[in-house]
Amino acid sequence: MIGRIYAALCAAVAVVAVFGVLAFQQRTVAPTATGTPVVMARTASGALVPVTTAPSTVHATTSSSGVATQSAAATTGGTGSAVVYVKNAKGNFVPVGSSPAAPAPVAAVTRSS
Amino acid sequence: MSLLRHSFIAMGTDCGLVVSAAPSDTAMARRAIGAALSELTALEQALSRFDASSGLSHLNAASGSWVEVDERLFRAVKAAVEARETTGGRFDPTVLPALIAAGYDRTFTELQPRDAGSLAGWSAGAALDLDPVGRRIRLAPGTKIDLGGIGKGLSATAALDAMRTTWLRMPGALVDLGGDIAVDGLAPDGAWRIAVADPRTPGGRLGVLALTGGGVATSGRDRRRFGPDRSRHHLIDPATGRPAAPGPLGVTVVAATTAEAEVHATTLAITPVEQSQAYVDQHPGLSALVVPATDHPFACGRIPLVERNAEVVEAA
Repeated sequence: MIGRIYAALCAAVAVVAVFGVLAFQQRTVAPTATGTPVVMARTASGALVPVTTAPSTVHATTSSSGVATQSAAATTGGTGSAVVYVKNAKGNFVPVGSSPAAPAPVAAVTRSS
Repeated sequence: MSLLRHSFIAMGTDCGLVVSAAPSDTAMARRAIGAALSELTALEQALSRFDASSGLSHLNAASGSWVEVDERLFRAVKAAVEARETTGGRFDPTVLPALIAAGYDRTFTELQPRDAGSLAGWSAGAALDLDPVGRRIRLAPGTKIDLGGIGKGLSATAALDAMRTTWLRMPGALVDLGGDIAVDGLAPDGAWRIAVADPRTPGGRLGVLALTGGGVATSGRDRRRFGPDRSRHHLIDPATGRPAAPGPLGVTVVAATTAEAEVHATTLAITPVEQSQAYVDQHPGLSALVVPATDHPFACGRIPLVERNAEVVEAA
């Protein structure tokens, strides 16, 4: 009898813990409720990681090193494109297209003149 | 360490001087920039074909006679003659009459579309006699020369030398004369990073070069087009006297000096694309990035691209 009560208590605690974690996660993505998309970048290993963006800039990029950065141009040659993910109403991250990566910082450009 | 940058217009194009300097060395960096600007002013006065009072204009006007010239002009003409020999005549400073006949008869910003003129009486490879002792030059009668491309390359290196002479301990500098670039030493975070423009896409890049010395130049038919419907370009083929038909859309060359890079870029720009690799192989120390009009860009030689567009392939 005591064992059953103990098991029920453990199950209740586990359920509360799960809901607690979910509630905390919901709190961290609260900006979606105010219209600011949460942007995630996919790393080389395939994992999605959050990227800090200004409200008006919803692009993010994935560098070839697998580290998500705002500008991957420094490692991709400025020629790769960024895949942008936005969290939808169901809470899933979905790709919404790609945007050009920012040019890498260079001292000069050689071109015909 | 930080960068000081000075941008300006010279030689009919956008230019930039970039110096790597600690905050405590700002005054020295500014002096170096001043020295480079003075040198560039003197070079433009000597080498411009658009300035009627330049040394080059006087030389062209006196073809057939010995003319004593400024040291800068002498060095430039000597380099152009050597380049003609190195390239087997594919680079030739005597194409000026052909360039004018094609319609490039004034500064690019002042050009008006007109029909191509006559080339009667002109042929490439006219004699250019040099007298180093008297610092004199004699052009064959009727010959006129253009030092545009090689002049910019030489000027980039000369400006860099002026900076180095002014500030012996300068950590590094870059001189950019409309894409003809000379570098020396280091940028604050390492080698100088130079983007290679994609001639097919405005604002696009083919990759990034990293250099600590030497020069880079790009030549192509994507810019400086003129004539009816911009149908002609400035790359004259000495074999025909007309804007070159064969050749890639653009070529970037890395070489020991900017003038060398400019000469070989110009030559490769009028050379059939399939001969590019063989040409680079024949010239030790050269590397190139070639952009054909209808195929993938490809690299020849050990071009120091630290980043590259995935589309760029190695030469077959």
